[in-house]
Amino acid sequence: MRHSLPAWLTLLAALATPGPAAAHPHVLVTSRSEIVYDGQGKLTAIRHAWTFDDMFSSFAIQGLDTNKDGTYSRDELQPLAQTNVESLKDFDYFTFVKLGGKQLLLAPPTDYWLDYGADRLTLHFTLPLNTPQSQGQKALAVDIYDGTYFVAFSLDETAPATMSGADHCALTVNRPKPLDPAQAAIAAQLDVTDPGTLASNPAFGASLANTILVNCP
Amino acid sequence: MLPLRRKDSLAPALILLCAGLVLGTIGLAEAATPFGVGRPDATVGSPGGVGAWILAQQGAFYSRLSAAIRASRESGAAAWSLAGLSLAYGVFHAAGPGHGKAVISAYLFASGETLRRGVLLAFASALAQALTAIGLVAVLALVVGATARQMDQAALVLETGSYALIAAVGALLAVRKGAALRRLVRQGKAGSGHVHGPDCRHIPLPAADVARRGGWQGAAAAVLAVGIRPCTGAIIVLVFALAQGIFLAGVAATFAMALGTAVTVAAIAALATGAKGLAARLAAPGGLGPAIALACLELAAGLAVLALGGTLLLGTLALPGQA
Repeated sequence: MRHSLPAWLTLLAALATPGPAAAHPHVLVTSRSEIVYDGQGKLTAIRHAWTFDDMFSSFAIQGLDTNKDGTYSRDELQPLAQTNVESLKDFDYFTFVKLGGKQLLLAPPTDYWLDYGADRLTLHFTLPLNTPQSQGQKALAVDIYDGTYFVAFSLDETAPATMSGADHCALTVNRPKPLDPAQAAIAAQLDVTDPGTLASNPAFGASLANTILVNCP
Repeated sequence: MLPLRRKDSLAPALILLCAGLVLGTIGLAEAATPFGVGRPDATVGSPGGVGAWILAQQGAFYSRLSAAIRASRESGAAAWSLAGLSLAYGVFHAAGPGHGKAVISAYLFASGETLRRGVLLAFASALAQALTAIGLVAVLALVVGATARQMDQAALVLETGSYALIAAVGALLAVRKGAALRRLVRQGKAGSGHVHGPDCRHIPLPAADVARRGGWQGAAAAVLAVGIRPCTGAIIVLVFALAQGIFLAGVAATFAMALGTAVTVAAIAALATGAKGLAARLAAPGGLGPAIALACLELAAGLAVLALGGTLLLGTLALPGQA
């Protein structure tokens, strides 16, 4: 009996001790993207349309039908769109663009709005590149993921990504494999309030990535 | 004497709760979440193994919950599956990130409540949490027509109050247990071989008066501390059910979640009271030394509650800075 007390206390401590913050998906996003090239064939922007899951959508639109007509117009939703893109800044818009392996800098979003239909909100926004880039023979990779796993991204089944202004290029997508239990255990330990978390877990973050690849011959 | 003591011990708790609520109203900005609406969970506890895996499956879980809510509009059978899913959500969520279990079990260990009271406390705090979530959504969404941001703000205020109250409960326990420890040590220094009360009667050792410790006011404060923080999952489910025109299904799901939470917390509460009972039995025949060791353990548990409340409170205050 004397020996069992430490065991009890250890078990109790293990069960009840506060530990690191636990992250797990609270928002599910289905992503559709457009890779935008200008008239000279330079890569200029990434345009996203992100559709939220129905539960998050119904939470987010509360109280926004200000004219009480039963629909949510673009104007009524604009303050929320503003909040969305402002908040996304701290998370690098979950969008990581690499040309020939080199990370490109993105400018703040332009042309952003929300629409609501079939119980789901869709956030539309355009992320311009800081400077337009000639792609040449280099491979373009656009990763979309949340390394802290607060938001679970998946590419749209039928129309994950398109291109405009680069007809001769070829676009493919890579979807992440489902998490195995070991990865999921890591996910549950990640701190959602710390966007830098990913830096210490690069392999894990990459394993979540949805990647859009463009190669131009 | 007794009514006065009761007032004495409750007053600082209430003052701290008020301070927390005021702080929550004036001093806090919104949390740094990716889309600027929706609150993250109280992030306490380090789930491992199966628990962590289940948490990471929460995405699939959310989809199933939403499907079950939609379906329960049409059929009664679907309402049962919604209840089952919600129950499971409660069980696993409490085992994972829920902070209630830590507060309740440490409180039980320090205060030396009985098993029956421990289980009661677990159920009462889970029920209080459900009622808070239902009240919050009913008032803000149904009556006021608040926006998501306003609802987040209200939830944040309640969270802050909850954390302040947890710290207050911990501080109270620590002060009480610290005083008891000091008494014991002083008696040890005075050289008496056994423990004397102020009237020179032998102080009954903990096992004898376990049931009387803590008191209802302490238990009520612990329930309130955990209960005024609504669970994020419950709020989302309630709002969604409301949007689907079946608020009552959301209410039922919330109570099912609370039941699941209560089962997990009660199991851990049973462990806490078991550990305490064991410690008290071991200390019972041993005289001053073991009594001091036990008092130290109780003090440590009280300090753990204080530290937990303080950490959570600081986390809430620090959130805007991390934005």
